[in-house]
Amino acid sequence: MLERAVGYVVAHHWGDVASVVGLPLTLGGLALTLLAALRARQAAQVAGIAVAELRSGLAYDDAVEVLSASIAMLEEIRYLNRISVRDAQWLVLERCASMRRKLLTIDTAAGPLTGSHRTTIQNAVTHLRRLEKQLEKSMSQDDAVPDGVKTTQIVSRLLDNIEAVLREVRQGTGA
Amino acid sequence: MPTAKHIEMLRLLHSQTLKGVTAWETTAEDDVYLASFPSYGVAIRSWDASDGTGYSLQITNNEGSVVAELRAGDFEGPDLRVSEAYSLLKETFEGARRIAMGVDQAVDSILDNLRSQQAA
Repeated sequence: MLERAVGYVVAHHWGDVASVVGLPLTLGGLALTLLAALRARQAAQVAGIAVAELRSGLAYDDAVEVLSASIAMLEEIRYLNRISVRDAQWLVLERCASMRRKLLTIDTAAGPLTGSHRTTIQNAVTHLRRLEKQLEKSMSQDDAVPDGVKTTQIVSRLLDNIEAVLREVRQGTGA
Repeated sequence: MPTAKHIEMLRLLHSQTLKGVTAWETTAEDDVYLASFPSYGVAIRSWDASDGTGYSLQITNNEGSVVAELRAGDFEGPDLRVSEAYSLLKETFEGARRIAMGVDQAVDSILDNLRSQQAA
C-alpha cells in the first residue's frame, strides 16, 4: 500500500510540485514574520516613548513639589536660626536632615533639571550636611551653637539658589 | 593613601582655582570653602596647628557626607612630595578664599574707582 502511494507520488512528480509551491509559501511566511516583528518593534518604541514621557512628567511634578517644600523648610530654618533659642537648634537640625533627605529623592536622571540645577541641589545638600554635623557636634559637646549670622547668610543663599532653580524649572529654562 | 587620580584632581583643582574657574563659596564654618559639582563636592579647609597652618581637601558624596580627606602628609611618593602637596593645598585654599569672599572683584572695583578719580 505504502509502496504504491510512493510510486504514485514519484511517477507524477508531486515532490517537484511541492517544492515549487513551498518556496513562495516559505517566502510569504518569512515576509509576514518580518512584518510582524517590525510592527512589534514600532509598538515597543511607541510604548517606550510613552513611558519616558510619563516618567519625565512625574519627575517634573516631583521636582517642583520637592523644591517648593525645600523653600518652605529653608525659610523655617532661617527663622529658627534667627530667633537663636538653643532649644530651637534641635528643630534646625531636624529640618536640615529632612530637607536634605527630600532633595535626595529628586530623580535627577529623568527630571527637568539641568547640570547647573543639579550642582545647585548638590551644593544645598552638602551645606545642609555640614550644618547638621556642626549642630550635632555643638549639641553633643554642649559647645556654643554655630555662628548664627554666618548660618543665616548660608541659608539665605541656599534659599535664593533653590528659588532660582524652581523658577527656571517652571519656565523650562536653565543653563 | 592618595592615588594617581587624587593627585590629578588636586593639581586640576589648584590650576582651575588659580584661573578663577572653580566656583568656591563660603560655608557656615570658619576657614572652610566649598565647591560643588552635579553629584559631588569638595571642601578645602585650614586650621592652626602647633607646627604651622594645616590644610586639607575633603571630598563629599551626593549625600553631602565627607568620604575622603586629603592632607599634605598623605602625599609621599615619586609623583608628589609632601612639600609640593602642601604648597598646592595652601595656594588652592588661598585662591578659594579669594573667590568665595569676592576679593578680586572688590580689588578690581576699588582700582576702577581710584583710576577714575585719578583721571578726573
